[in-house]
Order: sequence, then structure tokens, then C-alpha cells
Amino acid sequence: MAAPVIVPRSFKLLDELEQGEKGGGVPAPHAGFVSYGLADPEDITLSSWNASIIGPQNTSLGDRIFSLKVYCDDSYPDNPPEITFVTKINMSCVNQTTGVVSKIPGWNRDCSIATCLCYLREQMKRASRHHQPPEGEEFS
Amino acid sequence: MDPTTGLPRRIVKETQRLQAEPVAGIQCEPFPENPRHFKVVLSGPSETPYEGGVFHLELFLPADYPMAPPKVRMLTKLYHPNFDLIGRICLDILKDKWSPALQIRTVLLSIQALLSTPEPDDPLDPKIAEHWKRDREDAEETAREYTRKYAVP
Repeated sequence: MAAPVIVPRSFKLLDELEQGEKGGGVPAPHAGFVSYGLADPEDITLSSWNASIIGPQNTSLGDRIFSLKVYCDDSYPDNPPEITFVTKINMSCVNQTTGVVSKIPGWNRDCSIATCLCYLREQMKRASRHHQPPEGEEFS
Repeated sequence: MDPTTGLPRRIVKETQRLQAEPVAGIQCEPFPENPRHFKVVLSGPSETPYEGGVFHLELFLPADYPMAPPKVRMLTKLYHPNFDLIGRICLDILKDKWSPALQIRTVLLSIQALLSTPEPDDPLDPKIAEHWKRDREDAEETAREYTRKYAVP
């Protein structure tokens, strides 16, 4: 039996970067509403990323843009990235003091930064029915 | 399970040959935990701004290798128009000019050759390419500085 092909962290992240640059890697209905890229174009470790999510359409969050920070440590993609909301949002998986997102369920090596962002945008639908902080406020 | 179990014969043979008949100025060996992922060390070619430098790279053979080219990344910072800031390499055989008749060995020789002959007309970093075309001697001096600073053995 053939051993599974394990894509090393760096080459997986380079693929993700390329997809992010092209706007690809994001399935419907989230395509065009999430984006991500390296925070520092010289970061050879490919660890720190910036991302943004436009709230789900036809909800109270539909015209808000949320900024996030994504950190892929050395154990990525065995472990999911650490994701932190910069823009304030009242959502059950987001720590209301720090903006840190609790662990994304169902993570495996085939998941990606884009998978996490789509998951969060999906969760925003439910959050949109709850009271939300004023637009543009940030976690400190 | 031994990570080399079921590894395609072609990859096994290439790996053995890289170790049995190494190429001058090139070291390439698989990481123990992933036989498709290689640690590469290139010596900067003599009579170039990269002379004396030691350049670390990583190479990965994707699932569809050799139908698809290896993926290679430069890990040592260098000043060269065909490499970008995170080590991506602009080289035709790593893209549309790949042929399954090529090997890891030929890819690494081509990268060594790219160090000898930068191609500012097909740049990955337009700023460095512009520097190269405007004042080649000055660009090469910067490349030498980077080699001394970053490509340290």
C-alpha cells in the first residue's frame, strides 16, 4: 500500500498564499467575501497572516468588514491556526476580551486558513441575530 | 509504518543516486519523517556574487511527481531578480517547461545555473530586476553583501 503523501507545512502554506493572492480556495457561498494574505511579505516562516471577512449577506452583519489575525505555528497543519478577531464581534466562539477564536471543530490536514474563515462566516449568521458592538470597534 | 513504504520506485532510485553520486556543490537528502521532502544545500557558484555562500533550500515531490514538477523554495535570503522575499523561484522547468524526463538532480543544477545567470527580463522581484538592468555592477555588489550577510556557512 502506498504511504500517504504528506505535504510539508511550508509548501501547503505557499499553495494557500497563492490561492489567497488569486482569490481562489474559497468555496461558494463565501467566495469573494473572505480574503487572506501574509501579514509581512518578507516572513519566510509564513506564520503571520491577515484576513478579512465580509459579514453574511442579508443579515445585520452583511455590510460589515471584520479584520482577523491568523497565526500558523510550527505544528500547522497538524494543528489548526490560531485565529483572533481584531474587529469586535459578539459570537459564542470568540473570547469577548481578547477576540481569540476557540478551536475550530473538525480540523484535519486537508483544511486550510480559508476553511476556517468560511466556518467563521457561517457562524456569523447565528451571531447576527444577537446584539452586536458598534461597527468598527476593535478588541484591545 | 515506515514512511518509505510504497514510495514510488522512481523516487527511491533518485534518492539513492543523489547520495551515491552527489553533484559537486549540491547536498540533497530526504527528511527522515517524510521521504518526499528534501533538505538541500547549494554552494554559491564561483565567479558570481554568490560565491562562498551556502544556500539552504527545501524541495518537495508532490503526489503526481514526476508528472508534475518538484516544488522548491529558497530558505536563505539572497539578492537575485528571480527569487522573491519568501524564497519562491522563477524558473521555467519548475512550471510549464517541466518534463518527467527531468529529475531532482537536473532541477538543482538549474537553480545553481540560475544563480550564475540571473534573468532580469523574467523577474519575480521587479525592483531587483530594475536594479540589475540599470546598474549591473551595483546590483551584483548588493548581491555580494547579502551573500556575506545571510549565506553564511
